[in-house]
Amino acid sequence: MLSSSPTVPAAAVLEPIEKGNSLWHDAWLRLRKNRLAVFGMWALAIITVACLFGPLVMHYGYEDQNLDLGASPPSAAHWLGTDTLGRDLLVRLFYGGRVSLAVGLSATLVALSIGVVYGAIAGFFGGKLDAVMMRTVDIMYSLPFPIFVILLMVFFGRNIILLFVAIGAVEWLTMARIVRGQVQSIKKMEFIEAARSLGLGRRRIIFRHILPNVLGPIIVYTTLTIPGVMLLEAFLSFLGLGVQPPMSSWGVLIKDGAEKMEEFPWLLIFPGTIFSLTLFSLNFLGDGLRDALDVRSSKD
Amino acid sequence: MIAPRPAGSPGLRSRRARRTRGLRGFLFLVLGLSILAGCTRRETAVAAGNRLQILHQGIGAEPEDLDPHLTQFNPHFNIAMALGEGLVGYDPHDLHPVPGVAERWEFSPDGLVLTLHLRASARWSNGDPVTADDFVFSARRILSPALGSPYRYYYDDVRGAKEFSASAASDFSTVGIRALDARTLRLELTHPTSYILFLLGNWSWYPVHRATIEKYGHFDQPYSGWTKPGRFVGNGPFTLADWQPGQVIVVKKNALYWDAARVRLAEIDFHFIENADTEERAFRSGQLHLTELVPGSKLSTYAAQPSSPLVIAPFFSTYSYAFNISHPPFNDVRVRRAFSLAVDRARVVASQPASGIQPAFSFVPPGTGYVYDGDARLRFDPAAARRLLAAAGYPDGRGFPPVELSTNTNLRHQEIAEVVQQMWAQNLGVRVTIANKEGKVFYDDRLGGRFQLTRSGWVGDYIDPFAFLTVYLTGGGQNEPRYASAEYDRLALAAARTLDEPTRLARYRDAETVLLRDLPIMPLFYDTKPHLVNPAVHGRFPNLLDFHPYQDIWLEP
Amino acid sequence: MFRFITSRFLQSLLALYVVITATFFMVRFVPGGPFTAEKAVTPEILRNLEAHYGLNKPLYRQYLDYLGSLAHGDLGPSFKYPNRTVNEIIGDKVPVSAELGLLSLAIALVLGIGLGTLAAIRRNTWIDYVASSFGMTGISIPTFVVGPLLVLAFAIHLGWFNASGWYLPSDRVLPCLVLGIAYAAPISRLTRGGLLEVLHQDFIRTARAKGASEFRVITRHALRGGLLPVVSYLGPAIAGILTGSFVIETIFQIPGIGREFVNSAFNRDYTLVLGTVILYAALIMALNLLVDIAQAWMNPKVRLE
Repeated sequence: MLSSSPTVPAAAVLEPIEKGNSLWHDAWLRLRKNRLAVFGMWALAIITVACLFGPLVMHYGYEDQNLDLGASPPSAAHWLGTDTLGRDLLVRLFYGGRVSLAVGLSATLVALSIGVVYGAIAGFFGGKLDAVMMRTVDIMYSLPFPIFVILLMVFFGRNIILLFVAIGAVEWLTMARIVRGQVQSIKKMEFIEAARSLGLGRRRIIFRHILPNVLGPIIVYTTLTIPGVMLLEAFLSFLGLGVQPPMSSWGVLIKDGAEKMEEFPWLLIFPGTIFSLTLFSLNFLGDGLRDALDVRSSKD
Repeated sequence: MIAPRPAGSPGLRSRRARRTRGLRGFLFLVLGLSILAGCTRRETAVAAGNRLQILHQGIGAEPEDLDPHLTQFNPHFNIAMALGEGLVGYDPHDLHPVPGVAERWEFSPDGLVLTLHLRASARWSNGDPVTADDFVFSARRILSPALGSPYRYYYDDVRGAKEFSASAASDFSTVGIRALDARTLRLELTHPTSYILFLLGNWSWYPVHRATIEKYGHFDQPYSGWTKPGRFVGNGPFTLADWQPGQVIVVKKNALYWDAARVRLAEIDFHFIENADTEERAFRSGQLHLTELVPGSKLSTYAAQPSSPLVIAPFFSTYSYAFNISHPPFNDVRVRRAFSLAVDRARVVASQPASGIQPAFSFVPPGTGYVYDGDARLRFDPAAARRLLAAAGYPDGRGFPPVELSTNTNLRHQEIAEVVQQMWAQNLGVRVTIANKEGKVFYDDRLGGRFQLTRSGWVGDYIDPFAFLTVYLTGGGQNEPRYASAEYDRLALAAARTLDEPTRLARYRDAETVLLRDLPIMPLFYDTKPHLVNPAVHGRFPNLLDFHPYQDIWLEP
Repeated sequence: MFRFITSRFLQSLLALYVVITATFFMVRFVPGGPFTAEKAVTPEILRNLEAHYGLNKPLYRQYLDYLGSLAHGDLGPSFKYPNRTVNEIIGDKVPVSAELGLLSLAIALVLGIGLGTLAAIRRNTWIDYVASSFGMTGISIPTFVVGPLLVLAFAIHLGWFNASGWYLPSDRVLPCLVLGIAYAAPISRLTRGGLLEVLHQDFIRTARAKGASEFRVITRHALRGGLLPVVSYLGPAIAGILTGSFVIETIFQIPGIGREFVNSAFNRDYTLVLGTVILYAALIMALNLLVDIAQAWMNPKVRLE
């Protein structure tokens, strides 16, 4: 293997520190030129706005049943059809979206911040600290999750905060391992050594010099985490934590729709489509962000 | 698989092309082999089974054990019935007791002594004769506290049985079960019991083979491993041939069974499939003759088919919500009545199309010759419900404390809870929260009285109204609301001990009137037990307890 | 290297001990016990059952007993399957899950790394879009939807395979495909992302400038660094894939250990919960060790500490 030369000359590394604003500004300009990323942004914005304000303009509530109607395919009265209790699927998708987007984004942010900081510290300092931190991660991986969730509920009652704790507790682990691996590989590169020799503080080195260089995998893994979180929420609802009926979430709607997919396909297709659309948008946006923030590729 | 043509350098292209070709070749090889091995529309398991008289049946979760004294779940009774036989059997149509190991029997005039005469031809699968001593041994075993059988209450009407099983020290000779000779068994009862013969057909009364049990452990040692393939000895129409953990139990026809000439099936494969959707797909692809469950969403589809495999029999089961009657607000009978009056049971039933469930206006399901027709019959009357709730201090639901309805997580339970929740909101102005709970948390809370309102279901053990009314006797193990009424106890027990049919039924009605007035539970509907049955299966008839003796079943496309 | 592995082994042993202890006490504090059922168990039966399993002893005593038998490799009897020991259950079911897992892993790696690499080197062309769409679709459609769909198509309508069971070689095809695709999707995304990080680095340009063929550049130089995030992800992922999947094993009725991870918790099968947890913990620690070694090999600047 060739000895890897510094990714960017030391001087270039120092640049973003002084010109922080212009880096983000440039990134924003590059992002705006990326058609897929712009599409992703718009789609996410529209979905979010629809979920927030859609219910206000609808004639039905998420719990209004029409047992005589039962499950009906899309029609003029119910654009996306109704579920087996005759409830309007579109309204339930809006309400479910509020739950799923809130849980998906905030739990992912929690997992992201814990995982990135934890992984970066373990990777950067190495040694005994790394050993203790990573064996802790191994332990957390191994504990039986259903038991953990049920115990949480026993001690703290049903509580929406617990949902984030339970999801956060598992989702940050792999992120921490990925970040640690990247940091380990980058911290010995010449430009980091250069930053050290310039007497920069460790915190500054980690957050200003190392993390920006591992943003790519972080962004990709984040976009992988969000769907996992949304589906995990459905499993937690099964255990009694999370949304309780008649309220719903995308994960729960998809899980219920999957059981009825042959009889009432729209109950799976529409929740599945909006779920996929959201994830595609997030991925496009994520890829765009990654490209936009990549100082190196822009130099080609 | 898409194999995109990359536009790389020429060298790369050819090398990558070779690599992808290799990969593609490998994938095709794997696919081809598997198609050769598995596909080409080979004969399905069901078709082969029809030819060879092999019945493929789904039975839900894997059984813990095949010991009939420790069998716990209804589906596993199917296996017990194939491997063993009691003193009496059941008629496949209406389950009336028919001769089993006993060829005849007689009661004493006061109904307190039952003498059974065993047939000489009854054999264990190892050739030993089945004797009256085997039944005495079996009774002593199941009643032993150390065995911990959950079904010893099937012996409760036998004199001394309860006392014996309550303490390890007592002497079995105090129990009213005696072998007068090798082929005569005498039972002494504490009181006349109209349904005692029915109980004798249950798996808890099956004999177990003493020599085998004592070979592998102490006679009252649970789970000693005597039921493993190669060890198991039974007296049923089939013997245990194989048990593949997580997959299947195979039983084969027992040539030594006294009525072997009547048995037409050569083999039964009991497949463990826990998930109803998986089981339904296995049925549809020709892997199963018979399913244990039918997914709720598939009921309408199957019901609409001509010559549908869907079989829905009324099931001796009532689906209810139980109240916590020790704490406010449900310690007030007016609140309980208001909650019951506010539920339109016909519409609850309509929310489960094609399931065959029937609205319940009383607790005991129909089918026993007894239907409650007293004046405490439940009804739907929202106006009366509101008046009662107002009288209890909550006009239009104002000031009603927050209330939680517990169910174990399951799509059907949840849908029903949502429908009822909506009715309470509309008709009473009361907002009830639904709490999904994980199975064991749910049962633990329910049995421990940690609930306000909870789902509650009951399946009768034998065909008599008392199989239901016994639940709410004071101190009963399954009496989740902790209902205690001396009047109810007196009426229900008096009824059960009456042999004369019309008098007994009239007394049951008086007892049920008390129950429905006090309303510790609100019955919602009488449940059903749908199955998918391949049309090749003959001799299997819908009945109230879903018992299907295999002696009468055969396969013919 | 030897010192590194010995030290890691001792660390992992300690971590394993923490996992066992934590799990042992966690399962005991969860409401409901192994004998909680829909039907009430009478108090004297409960006492007998508890005596049979030694649950009547003080908790610390049970804990010491468990550690004692564990030291002899005995995981105890199962509560749910009382005729079988946890050792027997694991012995029966792990090979099934491992077979399912290894086949799926092969599919996942070939498909995931292949598509991810294609997407990265043909970035922002239609090849990238197709490959990336595969990845995103695979991530956004859960296995409990893909599995039944494949069964409907290939088992019920075409009749090529059995809908459930684990008897014939052909019974392996559908479950392995579903599980393989489920893991291929994130791997392809991570591969693409990781490669893009590396492709513009100077050593790649140097390699190209030296006239190395594109194929050699990718396989010899780029993938080594670019797969770093994939390798980090693979540690826990392989542990998960080898110990089976609850969803796949349920959908296809496969007698693997994956279902026991969830069901043993639901059944409060204390010993089986511990058995599966020990299995998983040992596996994940071993794999994370392998990952660290692999990372050091992939980047000589990473020193094993």
